[in-house]
Amino acid sequence: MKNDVMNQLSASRPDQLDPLPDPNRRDRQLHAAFAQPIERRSTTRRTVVRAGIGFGVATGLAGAVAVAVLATGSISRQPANHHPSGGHQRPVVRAGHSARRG
Amino acid sequence: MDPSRIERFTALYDTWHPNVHAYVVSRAGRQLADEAVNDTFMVAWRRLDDIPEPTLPWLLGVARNVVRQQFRATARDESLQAEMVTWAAVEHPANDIADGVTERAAVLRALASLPEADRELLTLVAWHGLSSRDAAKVVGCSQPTYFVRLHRARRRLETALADSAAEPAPALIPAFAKEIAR
Repeated sequence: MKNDVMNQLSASRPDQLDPLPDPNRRDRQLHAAFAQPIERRSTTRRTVVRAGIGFGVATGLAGAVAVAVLATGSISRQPANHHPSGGHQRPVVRAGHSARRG
Repeated sequence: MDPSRIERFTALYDTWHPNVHAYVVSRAGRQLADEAVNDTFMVAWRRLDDIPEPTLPWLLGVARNVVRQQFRATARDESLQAEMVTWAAVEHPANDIADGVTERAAVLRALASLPEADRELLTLVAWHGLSSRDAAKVVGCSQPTYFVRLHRARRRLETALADSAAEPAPALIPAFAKEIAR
């Protein structure tokens, strides 16, 4: 293929795509547009909405972090489970010695 | 009504109407073009204060949504097929054997054989003069994604063109062939 296919496509643009001049259509379309209500987007409202979303996200994240910290703390306070047999390791009481001193 | 607003909108209409019209015709045919263009500029009037720069990709994006939402896919296809028949008929006169005309007809036939999405990607750049960045905005994807899709569409067009060149008889898609035979 000698020419790039995109160049061929550009050269093949149909003339029918271009609108014929039609003043009536122009007036009709402009007046139809003018009859439409204007959408005014309040910048204050937009700012409040964005701030609300930001606050919500921040609160959610802070809550998630707090829950994670509490959960981690409660797990670390659990008795250590180092005994090979499993379960809690009981204090060893040797003969002649009381477990309680004094 | 605010005169400066009217003036601003009229300038916008006069500047971009041909581009919006051309895009809508390439997507939905001339039968539906006036209505779709009308609706597009109604949206532009309502949101005149929010229109970003560059304006054209935004307008074409609105036109794209209007065409997709307000016209059923079948109505759109029928209108577009009728449109492409006229392109093929004009671009492929029976007695004209000039190379340029034959090549244009072959390209249009190859384009007509592609899926709608491919046609849109290719024509946004080739016919409507958009940069790949602006075309990506119209389609609603990132520029790298647009590049990938465009590359694939281009490959498919090359294949379709090669196929149509291999067949000496006009390889119109069946619907077009039927219409032209009438």
